[in-house]
Amino acid sequence: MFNRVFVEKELREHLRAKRILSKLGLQKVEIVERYDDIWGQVKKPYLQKRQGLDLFIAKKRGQLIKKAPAAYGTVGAHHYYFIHAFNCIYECEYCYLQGYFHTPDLVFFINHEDILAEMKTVLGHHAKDSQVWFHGGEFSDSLALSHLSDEWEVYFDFFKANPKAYLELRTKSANTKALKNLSPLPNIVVSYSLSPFKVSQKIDRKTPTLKARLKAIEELALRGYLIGIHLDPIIDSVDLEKEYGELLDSLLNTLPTKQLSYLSLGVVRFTPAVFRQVQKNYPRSPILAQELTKSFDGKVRYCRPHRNRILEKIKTLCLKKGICEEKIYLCMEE
Amino acid sequence: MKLLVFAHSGEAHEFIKNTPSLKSHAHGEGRLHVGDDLAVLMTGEGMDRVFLHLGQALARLASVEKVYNFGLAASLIPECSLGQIISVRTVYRSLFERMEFKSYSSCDDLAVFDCISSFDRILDPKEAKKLSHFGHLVDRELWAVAALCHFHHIPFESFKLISDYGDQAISCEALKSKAQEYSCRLYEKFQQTLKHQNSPHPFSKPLDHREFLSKFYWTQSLRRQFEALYKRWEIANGPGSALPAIDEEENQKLSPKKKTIRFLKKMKESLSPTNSAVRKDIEAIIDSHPSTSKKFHIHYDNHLESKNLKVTMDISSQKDLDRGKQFLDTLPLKKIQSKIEGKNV
Ligand code: SF4
Repeated sequence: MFNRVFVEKELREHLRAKRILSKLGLQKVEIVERYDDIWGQVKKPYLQKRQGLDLFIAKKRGQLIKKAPAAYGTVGAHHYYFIHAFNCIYECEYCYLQGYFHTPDLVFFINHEDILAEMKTVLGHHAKDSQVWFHGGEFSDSLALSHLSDEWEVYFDFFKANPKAYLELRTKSANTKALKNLSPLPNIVVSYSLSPFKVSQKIDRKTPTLKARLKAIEELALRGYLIGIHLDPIIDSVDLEKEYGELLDSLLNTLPTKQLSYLSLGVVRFTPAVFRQVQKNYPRSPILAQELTKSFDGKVRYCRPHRNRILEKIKTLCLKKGICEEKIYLCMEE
Repeated sequence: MKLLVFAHSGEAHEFIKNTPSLKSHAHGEGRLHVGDDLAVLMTGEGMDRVFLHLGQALARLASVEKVYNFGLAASLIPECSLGQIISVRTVYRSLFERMEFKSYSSCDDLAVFDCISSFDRILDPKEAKKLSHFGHLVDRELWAVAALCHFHHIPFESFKLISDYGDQAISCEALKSKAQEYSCRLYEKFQQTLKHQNSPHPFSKPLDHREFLSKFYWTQSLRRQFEALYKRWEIANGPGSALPAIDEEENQKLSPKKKTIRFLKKMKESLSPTNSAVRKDIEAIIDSHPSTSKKFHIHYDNHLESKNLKVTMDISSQKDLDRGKQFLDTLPLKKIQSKIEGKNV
């Protein structure tokens, strides 16, 4: 599955490292002092991920939890994201990781106890009645390789013991194996990013199909999981409302609205570095034919009237389909 | 023209022998041989020599379309075995204690092995092990070749014959004694590569709008604008799709440059219908404001982001001042802001 696996010296006897290696059936690994002696030291072209990736099993040092940018999650709550892995096996054409890291190689951080301890500290900084969210999947899909990394059990234990804290696992994966062995909790939401079939087929490369994601949602909902939905990034089209109407119909056929925790809407947007990577890596991408402009701050996006109209159209559609307004939030930068 | 770059004359020998049109370049110090469609350069060993001699050669030969680097490399992994010829995917550079961040990739999309260019021959197994974390082969020149190609916007490919293993380097004499054999093998590889590259690309579809475009006047910057728009045009409308029609009668009144600008504007509008519609709406609101004139004008944010308006007034009399006050009183602020908000007024 991986070209090579590197393990940090201090983790070579770590139970989690051993478990991952045994799942990979590996006899031979490279022992290194620190993962970042190699990972990110040279500019490795993003699309080399197509020819195989290296995996690093490492300890996350420095800040383990970061404050999320504005409009990251539901309004009125405090939002943080935590870093349990770097990079992703999928290849969405708009993925911001392609301009963020200097290598597509994967890192699994396995010092989850440190992350959880920092969550505890963060919780301590907030009033008891405030809602504090911890989002996973900012730098890597939360579920895609979870059958290997096998980390969620300790998080479930933590969130069971801390019912005022909320966990979001962001994903596009149909790999729900790891979650099936765990018991759903009212403060844990598995959230899926969805796009209409036509566009998803073109630009969500190597991800499970829309059908497979909807099936995974259905299965998780049946098991009692709360589901979040991100209609993000929305890419404009002549049939925008029709396509999103169909998507919402399929979604609501599989997911009872009471199990829909929230639905977020966001239009496609890029930092200049990521946009340059999209142009380089996917020169024929339909995204590049969009009415995106380089804005005053260098970001590449639809102009304000355009994105507002898109968000308004999709929000109205969601309301029409019976999703209540309190569950919808807009990912807006302003 | 194809420029073939070698470190040593021994490696280039077979190429020169089989290309009768090659003549020694007057200023090439015997290193550069130029033929009809091919040139051969022997740089000498190491990146410094490449920077010097390839840099000069690229300055002298104006028409290099592609650079091929042929040479020897040591393998860092068992998968690249002795005698194999490997096409390089990406090249990195070792800077003694650390790695250079910048890397360059060849234009061979099928290549899977990476090379590290080092200033010295790698003789220490520990060093070889360290380098193997970043690449599969080690050579002495490729990074410099690639950096110069990048600077000159010339694509490159590199073929390395594995002559030894990184941790068991063999002597220079042993390598020299095999130079003839290596050169023959590399030449064969070059012939195969050319044959493969000359076969028509199954997806290439020549687009020819030349006749249509010749009706316009093109400066460098207008051409660049066209090229950027055309990329989007092809994605949006399909390869080879017709460009926007031009109204010959209307265009007759315009200067050649303005004619081109109008054509590009049409392309832009067609590719950005929402943006164009909002601008048209806002301009219609501004134009319909009774006091708008050369002296009193409303400016809106060109990015359609900020809701702030700028008003310019040229006031030289009491009458202007009174008109200015009235102009401000009746400013269609809300209407314009609603448009920027994306609302239909
Ligand atoms: S699933 Fe997310 S992280 Fe993975 S490639 Fe797609 S956008 Fe990037």
